[in-house]
Amino acid sequence: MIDPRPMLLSIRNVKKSYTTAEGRLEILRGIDFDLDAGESVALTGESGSGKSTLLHLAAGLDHADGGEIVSSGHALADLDDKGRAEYRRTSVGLVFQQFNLIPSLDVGANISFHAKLAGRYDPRWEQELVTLLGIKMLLSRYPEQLSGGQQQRVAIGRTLAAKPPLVLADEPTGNLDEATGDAVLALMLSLTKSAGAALLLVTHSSRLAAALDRRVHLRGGKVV
Amino acid sequence: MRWTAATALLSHWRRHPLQLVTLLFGLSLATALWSGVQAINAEARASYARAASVLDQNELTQLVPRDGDGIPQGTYARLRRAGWDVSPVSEGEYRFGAVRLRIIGVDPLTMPATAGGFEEATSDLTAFISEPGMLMVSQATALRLEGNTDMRLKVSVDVPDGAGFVDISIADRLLKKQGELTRLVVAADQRPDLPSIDSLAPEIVVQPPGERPDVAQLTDSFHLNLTAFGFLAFAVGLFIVYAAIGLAFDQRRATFRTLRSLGLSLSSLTLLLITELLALAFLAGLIGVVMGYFVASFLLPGVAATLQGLYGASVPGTLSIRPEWWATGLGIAIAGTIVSSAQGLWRVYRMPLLTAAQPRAWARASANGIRLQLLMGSGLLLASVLLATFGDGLAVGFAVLGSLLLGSALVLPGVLAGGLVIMQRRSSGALAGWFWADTRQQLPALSLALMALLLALAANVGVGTMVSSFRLTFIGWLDQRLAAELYVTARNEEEAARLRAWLPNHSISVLPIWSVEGEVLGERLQIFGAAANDPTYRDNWPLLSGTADVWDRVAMGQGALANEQLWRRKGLAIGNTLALPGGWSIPVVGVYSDYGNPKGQVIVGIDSLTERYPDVSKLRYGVRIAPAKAAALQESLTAEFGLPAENIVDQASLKRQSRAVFDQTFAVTGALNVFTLGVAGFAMFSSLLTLSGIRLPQLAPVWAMGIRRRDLAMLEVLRTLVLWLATFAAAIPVGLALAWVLLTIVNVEAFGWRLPMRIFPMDWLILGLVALAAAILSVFIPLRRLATIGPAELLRVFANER
Ligand SMILES: Nc1ncnc2c1ncn2[C@@H]1O[C@H](COP(=O)(O)OP(=O)(O)O)[C@@H](O)[C@H]1O
Ligand SMILES: [Mg+2]
Repeated sequence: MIDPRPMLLSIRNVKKSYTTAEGRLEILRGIDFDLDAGESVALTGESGSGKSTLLHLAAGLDHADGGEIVSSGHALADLDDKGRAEYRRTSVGLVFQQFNLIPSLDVGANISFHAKLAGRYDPRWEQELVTLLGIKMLLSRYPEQLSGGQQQRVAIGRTLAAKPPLVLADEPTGNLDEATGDAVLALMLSLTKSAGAALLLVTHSSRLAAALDRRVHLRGGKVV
Repeated sequence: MRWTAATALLSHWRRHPLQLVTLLFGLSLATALWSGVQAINAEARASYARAASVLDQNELTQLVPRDGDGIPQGTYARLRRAGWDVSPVSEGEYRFGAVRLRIIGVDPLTMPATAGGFEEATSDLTAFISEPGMLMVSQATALRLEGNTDMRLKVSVDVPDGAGFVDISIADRLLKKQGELTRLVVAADQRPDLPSIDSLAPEIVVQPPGERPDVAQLTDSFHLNLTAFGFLAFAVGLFIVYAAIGLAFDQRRATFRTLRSLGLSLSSLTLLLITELLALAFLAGLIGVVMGYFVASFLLPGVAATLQGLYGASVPGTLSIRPEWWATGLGIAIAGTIVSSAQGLWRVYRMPLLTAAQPRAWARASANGIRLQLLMGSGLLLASVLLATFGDGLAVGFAVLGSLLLGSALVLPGVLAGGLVIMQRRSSGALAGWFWADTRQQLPALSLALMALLLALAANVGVGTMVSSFRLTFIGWLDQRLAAELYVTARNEEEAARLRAWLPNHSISVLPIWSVEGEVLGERLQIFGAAANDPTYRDNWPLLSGTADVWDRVAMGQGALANEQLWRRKGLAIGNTLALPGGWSIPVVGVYSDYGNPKGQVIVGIDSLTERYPDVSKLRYGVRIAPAKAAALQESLTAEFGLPAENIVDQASLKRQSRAVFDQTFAVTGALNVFTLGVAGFAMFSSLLTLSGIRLPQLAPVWAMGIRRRDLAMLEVLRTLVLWLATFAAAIPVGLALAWVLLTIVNVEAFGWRLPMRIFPMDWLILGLVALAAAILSVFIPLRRLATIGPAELLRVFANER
């Protein structure tokens, strides 16, 4: 049988531990799960259960201690520093709770920044995104002059403008009030869908998780 | 509570030892340079005062001739008979062979006991007053005199170098004064009912005690120069302190807030911080004063040599520790700390209890600050142009310098920001755009260090240009001026007469170098005679201006030449009449440059000199001869006359000596320049280190989007280099303007010479390379930190719990 949606991200037996003053902390003890292209998955779990850690591994920001992560055809463990940078540039988009916009660039430059780095700058798509996100009036402002909700819309715009096959979002609404958070999340879901990107969204909220295709729960370093 | 709070505040330094070192080092360096320069000045002033008290008895009232021609013996006798307790002094320059001394003839019997330097003379009275006489000199002078005189020498620690005390009758004979006195010293205690001096002797005037010594006035501008440099270095050092304190305050914001919310009152917190700062300032001040002592002892020999070479002012090359140093050193350290921490303290004082830290709001405030600075700086630059155009005088010169330097420093961040905006607009790539934008964002945090750098580089370019221009002019001038192949000095008049007979048969021509000292236009100066008919003068002598037939008129005794110093100081013009001693009036027919000499000088025809002043000593001669034969002549002079080596100087060694004096003159300035550049480099280093701590949140997103740490680190290096380079480029025009002010305003006032400005791009290249090395050094540690940072640390930026 031919799968209509080919596998985009495959995580096999991934382990990660940190060495701290109190000793070795085993955070991920063998994680397995897959994500198909265009699929949206909610990653839930208690605070400290390792959600962010897993997301960072999938983004190629950090190394796993063991196991295998294959994303967009790249086995991340085999990539050198340069390869991982290339992977981050072209194959993933990140959205964080703290927005993490580039403070020295205005909104317009922030939005096209990643797309240009990835070599996928498309002014028409950017126009469309900006209109849909409702930030057209803000293009010449600087991040510090925006509200939290506005900043997160810009961050989403920046990520989607680069048309990554995989979007990784770490509690993107955690810093926003509920109404704003819901509106931002709804936008994010519909836009990733129309961009054809897969989404792995970290959240505490079961209510938000319900809006996605699937849900993966972390406990004790394993998927349950 | 307070104790706990203090511990919490101080724990910051334990966690950031490098910051503590930066702060202490910056402050002590600034203090050291400042107090080192002050120490040198104090030492020099003390020695001028000592010399004046010993040589001129300037603590006592003096009687001096009204018209500068000496006091007749009769006047002295008249005053004594009327009951005045006065003592005669007869002084002048005298040559013992090659050694020229200032001879001060005193009368130990009448000299007031309060005048310095005579206890030893009176202890050996008979030897002092009887023939062949006893000469009281310093140890160094005694060594130089050895073999040049048969007078008995007595070493006294009170006598400055280059001077000697003798009995007045012996001075009278040596100086051929024929009883004429130079001045009379008036004892402090006099009988109450004496007739007034005016009525007894209208031909003399009373000079009150405590007149500032001549040499102190002459050297004022030199010391002012030193002070200005010391201050510049101090100001540059304060930039470091400001940066370090600002950082320490910023990083402890959270601690401040916690302490406040735990119930520590605002006044207690402020008090704790002030106490902490004062303690640091005190510590740094102590270190600074000790370092200052080393700076001063390192610089003092150079300063002493300069003062000796340029002004003939004698300053011992050793330093005595003065108690007031500690006080002023600590004072300036504390004042500097207060100035550089005022802003930080104010922010703490105004800090709201609950708002989160807003680094960007601060950056935006700084952007407004840059605009304000641009405005103020432009105003200052305009002011300096106006002052330079319409003002004159040394004070105005320094005001022009001050507003030029401060104005350019203030304008710099704004100009750089403008340039960066243009670069950002013109760049198309995402990374390039970010690079320029991010560089601009760093500007407020780096602007102080960049301003310090600009000042240091501009000072280097400016002073370097001045010194090199001067050197080039000076050497060209020496080549003209020292035209004779040999300079011969006879040991006495009899030998001089034999030389006059012998030399013409063994050389092309003989140029007498004879001079008398006298008062002209109220200034004591040398009057030289020149064999103006000799082609040497006509072909070589460097004239700044003169009538067409200038040498003919000098030769005929119908005209005199004035040196540039005298000409500028007295506002002379060609055709003005000079009144020379002995009632001789003669028009000025030309002006010549005379570098390396702060005093006025006049040249007249040699025949009229001997005619007017028959007693002129005729010991020195310049000898023209084919250069190839000079060495042979030197040998036969030695064989024929037994002249010691130092009495026959060839042109090359004389030039070498003059050049050595010249190089000494600016060695100190050069050393201070290097110090200042070092301080500025350190300021840059500490600012970059500071920045590298707060850069992570700005760099982490770019890293996450696929730029390697290595590339980010390279961009950081590039950023630093771009800023250094831009600052360096800005420093060149500022430095040239500085050189122009130094050459055309300050030097003319300070030395009396005006020099053409020459440009030396090779020097800039060297300075640029030094600056480049310093830039790479300054970015190295901050960079290594960034390049080796682990992903975990970068990821913490994205962590939710912050
Ligand atoms: N660099 C690190 N060093 C040590 N411990 C870490 C590090 N990063 C995360 N941790 C720990 O790992 C655990 C999982 O963290 P994280 O993945 O952020 O959890 P979550 O996002 O699910 O709240 C936490 O206990 C956290 O303190
Ligand atoms: Mg998390």
